[in-house]
This record gives sequence, structure tokens and C-alpha cells, in this order.
Amino acid sequence: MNDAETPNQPSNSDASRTPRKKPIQHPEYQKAPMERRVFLGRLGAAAGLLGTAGYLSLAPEKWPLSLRDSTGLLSKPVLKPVRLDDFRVAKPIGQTADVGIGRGGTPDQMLRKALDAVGGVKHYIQPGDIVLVKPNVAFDRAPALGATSQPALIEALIQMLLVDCRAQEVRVCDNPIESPSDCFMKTGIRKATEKAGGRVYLPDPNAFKQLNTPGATLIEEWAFFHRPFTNVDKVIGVAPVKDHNLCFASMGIKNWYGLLGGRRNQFHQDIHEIVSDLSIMIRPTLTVLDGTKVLMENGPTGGDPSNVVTRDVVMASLDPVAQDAWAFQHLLERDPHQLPEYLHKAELKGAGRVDYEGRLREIT
Amino acid sequence: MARKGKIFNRLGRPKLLRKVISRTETVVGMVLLLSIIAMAVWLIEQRDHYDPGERDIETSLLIAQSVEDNLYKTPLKRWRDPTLAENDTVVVRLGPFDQSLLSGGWRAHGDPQIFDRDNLFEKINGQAEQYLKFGFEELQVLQLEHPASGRYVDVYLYDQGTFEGGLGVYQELRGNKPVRQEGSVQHTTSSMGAIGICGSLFFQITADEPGAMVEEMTARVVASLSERNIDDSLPDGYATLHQEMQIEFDRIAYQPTNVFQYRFASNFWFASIEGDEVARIFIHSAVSDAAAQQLFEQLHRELLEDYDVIDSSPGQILLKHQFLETYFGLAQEGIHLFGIERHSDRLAAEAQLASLRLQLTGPVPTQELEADGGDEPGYDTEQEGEN
Repeated sequence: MNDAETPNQPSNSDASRTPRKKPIQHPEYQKAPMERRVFLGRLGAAAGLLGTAGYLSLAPEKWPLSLRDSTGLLSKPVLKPVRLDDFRVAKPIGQTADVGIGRGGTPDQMLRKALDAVGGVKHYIQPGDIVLVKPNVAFDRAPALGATSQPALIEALIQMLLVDCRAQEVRVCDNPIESPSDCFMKTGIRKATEKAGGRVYLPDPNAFKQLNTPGATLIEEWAFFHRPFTNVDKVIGVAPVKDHNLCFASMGIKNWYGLLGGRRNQFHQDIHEIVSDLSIMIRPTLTVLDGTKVLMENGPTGGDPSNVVTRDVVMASLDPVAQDAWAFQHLLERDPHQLPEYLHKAELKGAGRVDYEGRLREIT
Repeated sequence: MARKGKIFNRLGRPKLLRKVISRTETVVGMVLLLSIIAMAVWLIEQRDHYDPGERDIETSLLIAQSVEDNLYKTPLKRWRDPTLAENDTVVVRLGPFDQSLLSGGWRAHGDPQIFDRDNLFEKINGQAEQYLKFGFEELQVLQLEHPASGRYVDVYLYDQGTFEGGLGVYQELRGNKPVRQEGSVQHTTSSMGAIGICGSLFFQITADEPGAMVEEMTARVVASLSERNIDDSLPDGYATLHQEMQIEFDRIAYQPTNVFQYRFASNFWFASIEGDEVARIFIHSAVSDAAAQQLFEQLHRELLEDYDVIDSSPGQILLKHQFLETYFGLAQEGIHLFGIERHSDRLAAEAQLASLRLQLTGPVPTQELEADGGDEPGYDTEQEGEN
């Protein structure tokens, strides 16, 4: 027997080894038993994690850092209110008129005259602007009944914005409580908008945001039809002139009521306050008053064409308070000493001035 | 020694390395510099006067090369119940409306819309209060359309709960327009529809455009309403004015609340006086004699703020407005409170007041007159004073 075959000495030959039941898979592994201190440390960490998780999930709602939310109200998303930009544009240097009145001709001609009287539409709308036009489409009534803005004027304005001013886009929106699509169709506003190249925005529940209006009494934070205002550069209101059962007259300022959401009918309890709030809720570039068909009585819905008087007036204004005051007296033919209370309130809130003397320019 | 082709020394202070720069390089450099300056000037100049029209493609070219964009179309068609087929054979739940309305090519746009006191504002926001104050209960709106011509007519049917509720709304909306009677329906037509009442129902018809089709549909709605069975019982005040005093329907009005702008005064009937545009007689029936007397005293007390007393006797006063100089007569007899307002002639006002008293209480016995001390008691002093 040579050395290689001695049993006490390991052999280099695998064939000479005693066969094992399980092969050693990791012969390089060396056992490292946990020390007691390390074990206790890890145990403590695990206990701490479990305790923290238990506290966060089981502690009563009012305890600090508690994640318990049995009612689900704590996890309700908090909507951050938005604010509207100031869409006003300074009037041309040297111009004194804040209110322009255009008389005579077609709606298009009257509108041009009114806009020229305050410096021309090209001064206010720059090429590439996205312009939002807000007509009054509150009811599903025919335009001849005078309860809504006249489609001919809307069409003329949109064409002017797209062709003359080279606006990038013209959006038309309103939030009638009745079926919006019916209202846009029956008033003829939809047809006029599409014909002129504008785009109608209809309201849906996701189109609203909470709007913050500093200084407002009733709508400091209120749901607002905001989607059409995304990236908008300029805003123009186009309102009819009409009698109103509650606030005596619905004109340029009252028109913005159509952008409110929520249960806005409750504001009728304090109609003058809400209308004056509207005057500071939005600062439009221009407010156009459609005096071509004036609903003299039975407003705001009307229903009888004999209540409607045809006039040849379109107004454009930088001061909606002065504009409404003039229209109340001259278009609705009401006593100027009995102006709606909301106009005085709007003046106090800084929306404009009731006294229009010396700030009018009329082009016939 | 300067390297050929390299102008500036980049390693240290900028220094011209070449002593000679060719004319070509100078000219090219100047041209480039001027171009850059020109572009900068142009940009500064154009910044506020950008006109995309300068770079527009010809509109005709765009039209020629454009395709119809069908990616998104706003859903602006009127909503129509998908269960309704396009023909007239489908049965529509017409509610209170008559089936006769659906003939001659007219069809319902869907079932009638129904609104109550809580959601009336959804239909007539801003004007709902006008109906609510007259006891509004329910509104049903039927939308009729004539597909062949594209015309439409909406019929609003307001249930005001009572005859006076319907009349109140009607008189407020009617103004001075004439009233037409057809059966139990009183209505006023316009070129685009009508308003009217039938018992406690007030109705309004509005169309999209004037025309013969609209007139025909209006007549049809009125005819269908006139065939309805309505409650014949009339409120006392209206019956007194219309049936006993023979005052025409269109001169009678009802005010439910805030009468004479006093919150405590409600449910008064008024009638204009023939030949006088402003004066009106009025009647109120209280629940009891005591309630009538209390209302009389309250009104008397409040009216003294604006009026001077001309004559006063138990249960009757004659007042004269301090500034307008019109007469206001107020009397109470049993449960009835009655009088006249805004009359410019004192004697005529007294005569109207006496006539009203006669209608409500019957003739005054002769003995009673004698006991009061003769005719026109208490007027002498004032008449002398006026003279």
C-alpha cells in the first residue's frame, strides 16, 4: 500500500472518497451565530415598528399622528381654491371714454362702432390670444323673446375676434341651470358660434373649481365654471338688457351669474349683494351690452315678444357699473334715481362708478 | 510668430495674432454683423406687433388641402329619450296634456318635465319667486316639435293650487293686454304663443318663431284646456267683484302678500275703476270679525304715517295723502275689509266706498241713517276747511 492509499490521509482522488448522502453546496459558508446584543437590538427595532404601526392605525382620530379615519372625512380631498386673473387692458393713451355706444346699422356695425368708441377691438385683443366670450344663455327660449343674448351679435363678435384680431381661439360658455345643450340650441347661440368659428364649452360636474374672490360677501369661495378659463388671455361678456323680477334689471354685471355652480339659487334671497359680488369676481377685458332687443317687462324669462322692444344700440365698456347705469336709464327707460341697489354696492366694492357723465362716447 | 488662419490668441489676453486680415474676411464679417444687428432690431420692433397673418398660408390653399376633422364634435344636439322612436306611433306619457296636441306632424320631444316648489328654479331661475308667492305647486312642461318644419313649441302648465293663485300670476304677466275667453279659459295671445288661466292652472305657450303653425298649436292647447273639468267654486272676493258688482275679469287682480307694502296685510282683491287709470277698490275677507277689526286698526295706524285723516267714524276712515293728495278710504264690516285707494276725487271715492258697503252688507236701514244725524255725516268741517 502506498501513501496515497492510506485511509487517514485525504486523497486527491474523488473516486477514493466515501460517498456522502448530500453534497455540500456551499463549502465556503462559515456559521456566524447571532450575538445576544444584536438579537435584542433587532427585536427592539421590530417591536418599535410594530408599535408605531399599531399606534398610527389604532389610535383615536384626535390623537396626534393618528391615521384612523372612521368617517372618511379626514381623507376627503381639500380643493385648493383658484383665483382668476385680471383680464382688463388699459385703455389707449389719451382716451377718456370708458363706455362706448354704437348706434345704427346691423349688429356687426353697431358692435364695431361701440368698440371703436373705446379704442377699437384690436387694442384689447392681441393676435394669438385665447378669448372667452360669455353670452347669456340662461333659458331655452327663442332669441326673439329677449331673454338671452342675440346670436347675430355673438356671431359678429367671434368673427371680429378671429379675423380682425387674429385670436388663436374663441371659447363660448355659460352654465344654464336648464339643460345646457337645449339652451344653446334654442337660443341660436350654438349655431352662431359654430358658424363663426368659435367653440362652445358646456358645463359638466368636473368643469368646476372653487373660486376665491377676495372682498366678496357671499361668494368668497364658491364653485365656478372654470374649465373654459384654462389659459385664457382675454374675457368678454355679452349680455342682454332685460327686466328682472328680483333685481329690477339684468345687464352686464348680472350676466356673470351664469358662471356660478352649486346651489346658486339661494343667492336670490340677497340678490343685490350677489350681483355686486359678481362685479368683483371677474374683471373682464370688455363688457358688451346687447341693446338690440330689450326685454322691458316680465323678465328674466319673458315669453311674449310684445314685451321686447327693438333698439339700435350696442354698448362696449371698460366700466360695467357705468354701462349698466346708463342702460338702466336709457334702454330700460327706468328712473335713474331708482338704480338697482347692486350698482351702488358694486361701486363701493371698487368695480366701477355709477356716474357715467363725461365718460361716454357715442358713434352713430 | 502668428499661426496662419488663427486670428485670436485663446490662451491669454485676447490679442490679434494676424497682422493682416483680408478684405474678403472684413466684408463677410461686416455683412454678418450687420445681419445680426438687423435681426435684433427687427425682433425688438416686432415683439409687440406680431402679426401671424404675415406668415399665413393662403386661406384658399388651406381650404383646398383641408379634411373634415371628425375627432371631436361637441354633443350639442338636444337630448332625446332613446326609448322613443322617430315616428309618431310611440306612446308618450303626456300627463295632463291632451293627446290631440300630437297630430298634424307634431310630436312630443319626450315625457313632460315636472318641477315642484323645491326645484322650480331649475327651469325658470330668477322668476320662480313670482310663481311661488302665488302658491305654486307643480309645473309640467311639454316640448312639442314639428320635424318637417323644424318648429317647436313649449307648453308650460303651472298648477297654482287655487284660482286666485293662477289669476295672480296671469294678471302680473298680462299687463294691459286684452283677455280672450274660450270656455273656462281666459288667455292672452302673442305672436309666439299665449298665456292664460284655466281654474287654478296658469299656462304659457312659447314657440321659436311666429307663424301660422304656432297660432294653430296655441289654439289647440287652449281648446284642450277649455274642455277640462274645473272646480267652479270662486273665492269670495272675486265672486263679489265679478259676479255681484259685474266688474270685468281683466280689471280684477289679486295680491297674496305684502299688500300696500305692509307685511301683515295679505289676500286682497283689487279692481280698477272704469275711466280711472290709477284708482282701485279692494276687498279682503278675514277669518273672523275680530281679525277683520284688528287688520282695520293696524292699517289705520300705519296709514297715518303718510296720510291725513279727512273723516273718521267707527269702522270707516277717509284719508288724504300728504303729498300726492289722493284719497284712501278704508272700511270694515263684519269679516269684510274694503275700501278704495289712489282716488283723486273725494266725492267719487266716498261714493265708491258706499257702493262697496252696499254690495257687501246690503242696504242700510233708513232708521240707522237718521240716527246717524242725516246725510254725509262729519264731512262739513273738512269741506269748509278746504274751501
